[in-house]
Amino acid sequence: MKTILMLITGFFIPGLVWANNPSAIEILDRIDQNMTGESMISKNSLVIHGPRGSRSIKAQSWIRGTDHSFTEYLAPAREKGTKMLKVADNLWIYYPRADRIVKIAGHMLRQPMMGSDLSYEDMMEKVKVKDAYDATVEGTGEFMDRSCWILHLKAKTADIAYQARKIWVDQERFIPLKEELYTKQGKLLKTVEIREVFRTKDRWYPRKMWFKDAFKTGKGTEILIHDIEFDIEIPNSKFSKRALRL
Amino acid sequence: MILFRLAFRNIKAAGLRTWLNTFVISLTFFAIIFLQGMYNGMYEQMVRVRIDDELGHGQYWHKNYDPFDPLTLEESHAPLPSAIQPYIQKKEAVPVLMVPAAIYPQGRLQSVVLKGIPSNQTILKLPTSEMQSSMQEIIPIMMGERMAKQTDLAIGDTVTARWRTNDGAFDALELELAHIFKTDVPAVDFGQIWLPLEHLQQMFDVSDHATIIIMQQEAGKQQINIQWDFHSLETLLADTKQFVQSKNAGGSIFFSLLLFLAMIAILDTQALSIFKRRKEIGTLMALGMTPEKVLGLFTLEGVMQGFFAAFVTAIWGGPIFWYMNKYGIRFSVSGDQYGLALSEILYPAYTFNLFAGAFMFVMVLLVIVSYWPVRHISRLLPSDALRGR
Repeated sequence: MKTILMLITGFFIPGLVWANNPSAIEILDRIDQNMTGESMISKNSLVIHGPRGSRSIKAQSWIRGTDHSFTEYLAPAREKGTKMLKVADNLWIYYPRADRIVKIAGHMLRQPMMGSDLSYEDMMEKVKVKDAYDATVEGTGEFMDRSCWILHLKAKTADIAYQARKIWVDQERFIPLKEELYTKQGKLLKTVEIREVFRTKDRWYPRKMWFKDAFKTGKGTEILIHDIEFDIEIPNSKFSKRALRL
Repeated sequence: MILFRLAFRNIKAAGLRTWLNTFVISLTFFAIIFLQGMYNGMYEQMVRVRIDDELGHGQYWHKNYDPFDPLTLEESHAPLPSAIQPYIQKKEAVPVLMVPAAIYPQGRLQSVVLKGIPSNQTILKLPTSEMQSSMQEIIPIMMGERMAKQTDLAIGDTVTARWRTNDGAFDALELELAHIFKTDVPAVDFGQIWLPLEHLQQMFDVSDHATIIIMQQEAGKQQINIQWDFHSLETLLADTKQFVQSKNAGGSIFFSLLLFLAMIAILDTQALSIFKRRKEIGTLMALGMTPEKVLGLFTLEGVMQGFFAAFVTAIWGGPIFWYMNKYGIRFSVSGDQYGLALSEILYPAYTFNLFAGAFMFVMVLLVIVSYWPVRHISRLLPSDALRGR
């Protein structure tokens, strides 16, 4: 789940000098400084608000860079012990009840992850925005009573999953409070909103995030960050298939 | 001739026992013909609908395409080979492009395969010409009844589809359900949406690409190039054949049981005859009948029972076979619910070979079981037989 945070923030690349009317690259750089680290360990919850009610899944995640992540589900009992490992373009899930490791690929990547508004494909997304998109500052606006820069991102090449993005960035805290992801033909596909942030050491970080698949009914999927630590040494063995069975 | 007369008289004299044997043999005849006819009909029906709606008369597959592995679908397309173009122009081949996608009927995400096919094709009997949208900007689609039921979509409804282009970018569009077709082949229905090929090629950002090419005739069965493998109709129907064969094997247990009962009845009758008709045998031999002729008489009696049973089967079974052949057998559950290309009504296929084969099979067994218990008669002395020893 932490990967999601990395994915969202991963595109915001370090940049240039800050000014009163910053360029798009400068804004992306500030966001990156705020939200990314070499590695992180977090405890979080995934709350899925479906048409038939809500359910919550608690997990702990270990993330290193954009290529390595390991998530262990802690609750509810039905999901407890399920583990997910992402290494580069590969994704494996370990199901403790069946004691089986399943590689998620092809069609399965498009399935909702744990019934949420996030697909496994979303987990695999790892583009560097600075390289992949042409960013422009469209103007200013407000989101959740916060003054924002509105950035428009357009993919440089046809192989980028989301061909356009629109981001509302908090002018003071440099948090991407809202992001809209668009298809090639300009249809809104997904919305990501950060509805609560907190200060941890020298950076601001999201506490509560909402993902919404624009085509699906329901209120979307909420991610809550309970606890997070940055730049912690994580051993290589954590990101191995062997770790899934431990 | 005397043997025939004697045999007929003896059968007639046996009364109820003859009727009982006839009944069991007749039932066996019926069971063999009925079950074989049903499996033949099942196979013919499955083959016919699969050729009509799914297979054509052979297919070229892109080298990566594996219908049992949906994970291969994204990598299973290529430009149409030039060698196949003349067939396509003559409408003797139809290209189909398959693209994995997701649709959102009533806001629920569902994985599907988008199948692009030229709407003017005539090789498959799918009503592809019905794919016409009432709104110009919306792409018309069609789907099978099962898929429409599963997605709760009706003609005229629109549904959002999301897919990834050949380059990997997400794209989405509204599609309009222009037609719902009925098919007995679940393989062209469940989890699939059909749309005009040119639209899908445009959506997927490829021109002239296909995943499979369906042939009208097995004309171009040679390998056309390294990216395409030819699959003959026989290969494509192998699973259907296997299924019917396994069903047939199951069914044969049932009629084998009946056959066994019939044979036991004949065997028993013959064995009893030796014991009960010993004096008669002695008399016949004393009057000059050779042991071989006596043996022939008893064997003939068994065989005549078989003929008689065949005649009786024709009288009571014939109308039933005719009725089933004409109106079929209605099953409350359609086979397609189990992934089989079978409709609710099954039409058994009765052929002359089937009747002749069943008749010959039973008759050969009857000759054996009629002869076997009485084979020792030839060693019997007439004096002993007359004394009842």
